Amino acid sequence: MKELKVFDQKLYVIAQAIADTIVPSGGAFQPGARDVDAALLFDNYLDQFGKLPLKLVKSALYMLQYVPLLTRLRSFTAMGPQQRLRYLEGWENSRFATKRNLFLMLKMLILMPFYSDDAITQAMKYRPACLRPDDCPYCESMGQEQTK
Amino acid sequence: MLLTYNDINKDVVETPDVCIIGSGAGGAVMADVLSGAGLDVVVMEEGSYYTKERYSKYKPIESLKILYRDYGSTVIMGKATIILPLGRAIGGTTVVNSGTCFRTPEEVLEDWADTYGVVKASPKEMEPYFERVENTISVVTITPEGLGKNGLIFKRGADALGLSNGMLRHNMINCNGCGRCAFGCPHDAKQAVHLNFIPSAMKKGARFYANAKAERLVIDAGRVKQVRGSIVNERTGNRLYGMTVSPKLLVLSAGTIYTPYILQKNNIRLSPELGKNLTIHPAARITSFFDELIEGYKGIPQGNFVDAYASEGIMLEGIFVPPEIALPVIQAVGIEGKKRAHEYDNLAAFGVMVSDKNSSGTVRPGLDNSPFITYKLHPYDLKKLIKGIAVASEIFFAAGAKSVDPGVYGIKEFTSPSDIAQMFTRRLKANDFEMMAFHPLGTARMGELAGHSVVDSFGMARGLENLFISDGSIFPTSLGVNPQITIMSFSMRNAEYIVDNKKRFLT
Repeated sequence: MKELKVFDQKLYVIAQAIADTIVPSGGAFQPGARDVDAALLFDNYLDQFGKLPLKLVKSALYMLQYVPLLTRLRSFTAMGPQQRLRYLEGWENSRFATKRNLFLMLKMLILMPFYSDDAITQAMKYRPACLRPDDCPYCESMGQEQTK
Repeated sequence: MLLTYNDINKDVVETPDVCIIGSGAGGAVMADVLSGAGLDVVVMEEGSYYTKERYSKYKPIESLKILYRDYGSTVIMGKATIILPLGRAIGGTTVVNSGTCFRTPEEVLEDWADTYGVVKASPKEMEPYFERVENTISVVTITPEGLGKNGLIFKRGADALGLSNGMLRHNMINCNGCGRCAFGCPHDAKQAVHLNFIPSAMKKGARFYANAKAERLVIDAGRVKQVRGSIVNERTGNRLYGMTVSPKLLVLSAGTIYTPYILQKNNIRLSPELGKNLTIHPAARITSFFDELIEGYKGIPQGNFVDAYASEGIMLEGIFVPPEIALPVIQAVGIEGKKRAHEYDNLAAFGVMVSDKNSSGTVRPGLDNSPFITYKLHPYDLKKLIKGIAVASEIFFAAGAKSVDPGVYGIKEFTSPSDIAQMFTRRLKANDFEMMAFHPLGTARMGELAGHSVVDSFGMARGLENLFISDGSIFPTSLGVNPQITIMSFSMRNAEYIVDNKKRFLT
């Protein structure tokens, strides 16, 4: 069982809610953020992040959580699933580049370890392969199917 | 000899003829030529030493952590936020680049001579260096069989539109087309400098220190007297031992961002131009969905190009990355985002790069012990980017795409060629684009015009007798093409200049 390395429990809960909204369970492939604990993967991926970028990530998480208190009178984690989705879509499509970029940064840092997780690649039926699978020590060493 | 932090158990003290900071395209070639001339050479490299056995075990996102600075996301600030991936390993960025090889365009060399007074670097004078470098790193032209379908469908679209295109040249031997060039080649097919110039230099006696971070340059009486640094833990970056090098000559090959940064941090102001004139070769990625199966991860990700608009400074070059890098930037969240992600096998991608002859940026010391990089994209270069994205979109539709994502804010996707007109009717700004940059150059530019250059035509620093700079920072303008051959060839030429004048520089 992996442990939190950079987030406290409060940030973990916020990250979990955001990850769960970005990649919910169901849809085109079954597992979602909650099924692979994407918030924990996100936390662990940041273990070698510099101090300044880590502060930026934590600040962005808090902003996503508390900014809606001003406009919707409730924090992000207190919203329902549909409201959360609309709220994040608002950040992704904001006319303010800074807001879009902050969200893109969080989305990337959440989704990179998510889409790298074996359970997700298996669910998506993605297996890296090359043009010469019969003679590929890399494919062999990674235990990958020789052809897709 | 190559030593890493694992091999060292006490402070390191060295007194070589030459100390080189950085082991990438510039530093590796410099080390090989200088050690070949009988000089005692020490190379300090902040990054670690990885072999195919090590990095082939890592997933791409783990490679981003270990082979790149800042997880591959060094940020350039400005009206647009631009991501600049920088390699950090024995072999530098050559370990993680796409392997594309272009000689310096002749018109660029002529411009450097005419505008900046650069001497003895005409196309004819550089020709032998290009040849030697290309032979050493095994440059070949890619065949269509190596492309994979991502490249082939783009070629199909460009051919349908009658646009000039071709196969790129790469430094490679027996490539299997695993699509992992940017994460360390698992076969050692890509001939990065840790497979040729560095072993060659080591055979001639050069000593390479991995995990050796140069921090302080001690100056005395107009000369660099000492380099002080640390041997650091590969994983944590924490200092383990001290390292002191007292060379007769110092060569800075830390790259376009870190070379000026190291000098600035040490209050060494060689010229008012130091840290300025940064060009980055801005790039955008255009993605497209097809009904047919693409499986873009099979094949050489950057194997072909469209140069129909190269004279306008627009180059289209292949690009494809694994799902964990490609899918997070798809513009959708929730169930819709998963639906798009699940179509990864039907996804195609290509890159647009524009020669930024009118734009420029600056490197200066920032917070958190890292450089602060700013850049301003000139409206003229922005127009080139817009045109490049429009052309790439047309090519995708000509190849049969059902939709194209231009990576522009406010445009979710194009579903027909007629949608592309939006690129020209909307008032697009720099920060509307998802931009990246891969080829930073120019922050210590060379030339013979005192006051306008940081180093002379051979990389010798102005104001310090025994300091040379040999990396992408010395090039006065954007090349408009991938720079590794240019960096290696100029490094070879400048190393020979040092050897030819060693009585002057090494006594």
